[in-house]
Amino acid sequence: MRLTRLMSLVGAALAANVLTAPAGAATLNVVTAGDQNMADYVRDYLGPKFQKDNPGVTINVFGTGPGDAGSQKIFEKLEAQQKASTATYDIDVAVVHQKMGGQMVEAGMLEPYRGKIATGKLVSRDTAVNALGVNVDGYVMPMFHSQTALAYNSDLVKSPPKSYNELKSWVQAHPKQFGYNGIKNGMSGVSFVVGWIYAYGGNADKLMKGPYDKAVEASWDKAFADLKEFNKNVTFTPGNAGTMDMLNRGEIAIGPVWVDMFYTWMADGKLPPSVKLLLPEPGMPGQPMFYVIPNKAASKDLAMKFVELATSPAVQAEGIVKRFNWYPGIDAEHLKGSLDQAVWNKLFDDVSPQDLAKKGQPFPIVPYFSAITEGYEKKVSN
Amino acid sequence: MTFRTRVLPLVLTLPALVVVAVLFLVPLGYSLLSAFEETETGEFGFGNFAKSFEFYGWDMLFTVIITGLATLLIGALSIAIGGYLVLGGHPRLVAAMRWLYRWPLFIPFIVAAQCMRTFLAKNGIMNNLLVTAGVIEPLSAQSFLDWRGILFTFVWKQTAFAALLVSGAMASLDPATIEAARNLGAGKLRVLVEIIVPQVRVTVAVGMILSLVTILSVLSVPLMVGTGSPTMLTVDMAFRINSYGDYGVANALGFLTYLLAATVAWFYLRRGVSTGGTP
Amino acid sequence: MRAPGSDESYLRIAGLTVGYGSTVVLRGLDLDICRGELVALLGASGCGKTTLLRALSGFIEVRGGRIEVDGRDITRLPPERRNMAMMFQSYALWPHMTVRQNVGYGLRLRGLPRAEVRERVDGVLAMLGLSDFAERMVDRMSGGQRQRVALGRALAVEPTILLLDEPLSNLDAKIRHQVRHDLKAIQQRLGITAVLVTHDREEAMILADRIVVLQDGGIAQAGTPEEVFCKPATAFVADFMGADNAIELTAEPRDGALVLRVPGASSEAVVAAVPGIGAGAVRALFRTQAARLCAGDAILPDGLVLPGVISQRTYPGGQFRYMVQSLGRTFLIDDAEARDVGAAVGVYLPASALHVFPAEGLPDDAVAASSPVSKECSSCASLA
Repeated sequence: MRLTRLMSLVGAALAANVLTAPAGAATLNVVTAGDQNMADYVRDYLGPKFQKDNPGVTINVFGTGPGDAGSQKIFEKLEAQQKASTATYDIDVAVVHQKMGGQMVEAGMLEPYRGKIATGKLVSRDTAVNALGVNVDGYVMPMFHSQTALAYNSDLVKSPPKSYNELKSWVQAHPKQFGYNGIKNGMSGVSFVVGWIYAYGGNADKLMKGPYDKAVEASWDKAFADLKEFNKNVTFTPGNAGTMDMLNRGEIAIGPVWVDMFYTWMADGKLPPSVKLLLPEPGMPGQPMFYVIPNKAASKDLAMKFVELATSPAVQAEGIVKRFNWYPGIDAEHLKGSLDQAVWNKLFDDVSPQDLAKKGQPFPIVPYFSAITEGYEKKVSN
Repeated sequence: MTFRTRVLPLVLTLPALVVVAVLFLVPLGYSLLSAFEETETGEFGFGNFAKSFEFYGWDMLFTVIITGLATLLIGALSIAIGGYLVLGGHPRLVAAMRWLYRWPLFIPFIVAAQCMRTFLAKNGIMNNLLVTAGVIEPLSAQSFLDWRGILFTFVWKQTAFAALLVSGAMASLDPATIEAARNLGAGKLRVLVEIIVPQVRVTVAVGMILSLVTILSVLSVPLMVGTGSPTMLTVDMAFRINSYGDYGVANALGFLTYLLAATVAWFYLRRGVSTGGTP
Repeated sequence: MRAPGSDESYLRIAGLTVGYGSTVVLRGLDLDICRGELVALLGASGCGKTTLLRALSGFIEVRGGRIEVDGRDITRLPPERRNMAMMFQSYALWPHMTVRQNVGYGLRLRGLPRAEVRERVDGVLAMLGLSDFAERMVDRMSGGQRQRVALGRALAVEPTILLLDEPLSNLDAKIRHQVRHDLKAIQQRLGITAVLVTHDREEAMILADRIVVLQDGGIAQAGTPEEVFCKPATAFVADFMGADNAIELTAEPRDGALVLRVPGASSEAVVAAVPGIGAGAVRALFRTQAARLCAGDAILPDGLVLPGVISQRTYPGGQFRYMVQSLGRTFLIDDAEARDVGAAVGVYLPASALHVFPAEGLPDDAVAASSPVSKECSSCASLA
């Protein structure tokens, strides 16, 4: 552990050095959490586009790594500067996970900028207002929405289970044919577990909206016990990609995946066309990634222009939907004009917009979220 | 003269000392403190440890078993490889072995883990080869992406390191001590066990202990090859931080890992002292 | 072939060819060794003597020929099945074992009961005077003690053949001279067949029943120490056995013998006829110890007198040592009589001291640097 800590310290120190080097006014430092493709998206697609409209601006892009760990690093970096009362922070735009968006708002690190940019009005979805129980209204712009769903091999599974209940009995009948990655090896597994608690823990709405009440946790015992039983007939996979690998090789027939990753793999030919998606009843969680601007960002105006571009219908259509198969961050209806029908259809091929609206759930508020993963560790996997 | 003999050496070693202090001792001390600092209350106590045992007791056992088993296998294999290189067989095979066994040294753990994911999977390369060779039936193929995969990857990767140390030590033995034993009637296996290994036992122990400590600190292999439950403590540490921002329990787990490594080191040192020789 | 035990060959080496890579070290070597005989392989480094020993012990693969012990072919047997015991130059003791464990290891390998191993090890240790050190780790022993442990380890298994690879070369000169005789005594007492490799002529002479001089992978001469010393078969053997002063003489057959003369001098020496040598130039080798000084114009019977001049005088003890220039060469000759530097002297070479070979280019080195040993080989005259 101390190594991990040490490495993050060293990493932060290195990043700080590089970041502060070109301190001219026309520099924009963009830091993204998430997989490498996130940093690539900003560096190779968004950055050059922005520079075309704003000649002379240097854009530095840094990826901090996948998952919550990546967001955690950005938070710790800002926190350090906040504690040191630095006049300006060396991050202008950050791309963070939903949970961290809320945490940053609570820590008072962020600039309320949504009202100041033109694209701010194009967002109406609840996730731009409520980030796992924290009111983030005005502080964030969703970059895209990501959704988990069940992927299944239609050659092996003719009538796929359409709900958690059906999945339960299907797994009983087909042991080891369903696979997921637990909760420590990636978020698709966490999503599946959260969906399970939504389905069987009761009070799903309260988990998503709060307020937090510790007593609720006690009502999950049965759900966890059932999940432990369920796990006996499950194949555990090594990670998000591991689940898709095993689907691809036919080692499992059903497994939870991230929809965008699924489409990307499909486009790369790493998954056979027979693998399809479905959103089971009562639903599975998804989450947006947020563009946020620290309140002491050095180039705040430039940062807002940057986010404005990034959330414009054209960029959302071309970059987010077409290139990366993500669901758009701004409301989908604004994209219709910029997107050809074929691309639109592809994105909503298996999971219709209605399905998404009905069964695409947010993650629970932070304390419940932690309680679910800890409960899993304690009562299911231990 | 006092300056030269007293102050100068200190000045010269100062940069190194500072680097060790800043990059090693400070984080270590911070980590130890954090292990005893309760995440919620901020007070000092054993709460993080209680939680560690409650949540990760099985993972601790798993970690001990995996590292222990891996270390034993690494020791045995490195002796076998070293012995083969020293005692020889067919010269071509020896040359091939000498060339081949070091490869994993140059492959990072994360790459090794990635390769193992496609190698050890149920429909992976290994099983495909075995099926093609007619060794197993397609239906009896099973995935090794679990504790066996973790063990396999660690042993595969770390044996190269231990074998490099051990075969080096074996090669520097007086070859006449080996010839003397064979001359008196000892077969190759007896020579290895009774003559060579006792003379290089210190190096074997060093190779095993360094491997054990390395294995204890690797995150990528259990993360990528293992399947989450039970898993090794490194994964739990990363999970505590990434999912909960909980450095307290993570550091408590780190502290326990450190204790595990220190226990092994202590046994080793104690043995060195009791035999009166250099450890 | 003379041997103390029986005349029957016990260890037979026939047509043995051994090499490393493209180098052939031994070329079709034949040698028979009798039971109880100690044979010394003597030669310059690179002559193949160590290779022969390692081929016997099985550590080198043989390319051609046979090795037999007591009629049994062991050419292809691995080392551990030959029942030979080798004593190594470095002793090769196992540092992780006590003296007792080292000596007893071979017996343990043979599966002897613990008690018997103990008894036999005790016997060996007693014989070698090591009883007090049985439980000591070998790395706490002195060089001489280690040497005895190594010998004990080899002897404990009662091997059919004992192989000794430069067994004394790691000892101090003083200890070495004593140990030679001890080793000889033990070998004779046990009646063990042994092959000794050494580059030390004196050691070979003292220890061996028979000396085999090797040259370029073949046997230059094999014989008793006296034979090899006094009747070297080739100029190489003569040179190696210490007769390293060469002079050119003229020969003339007379009455079935050979008359030797120094060109330009009047003295002559009569030696037995040598096959293949007739009238003309010949090459004679002699040991400086065999030469004496006399008056420059002396005519002495049955020997040659070389005219010379003293260029240096030293006193190493007992006798003077003179550096004498003669016939364009330099000889170191010991003589009891005090003479002056610059004096004209004669170098007297008795006929019995001359080893005569066909003249084919003399060695280039003009200084005879071998250390003179004061005693003359008394038996040479009779053998000649």
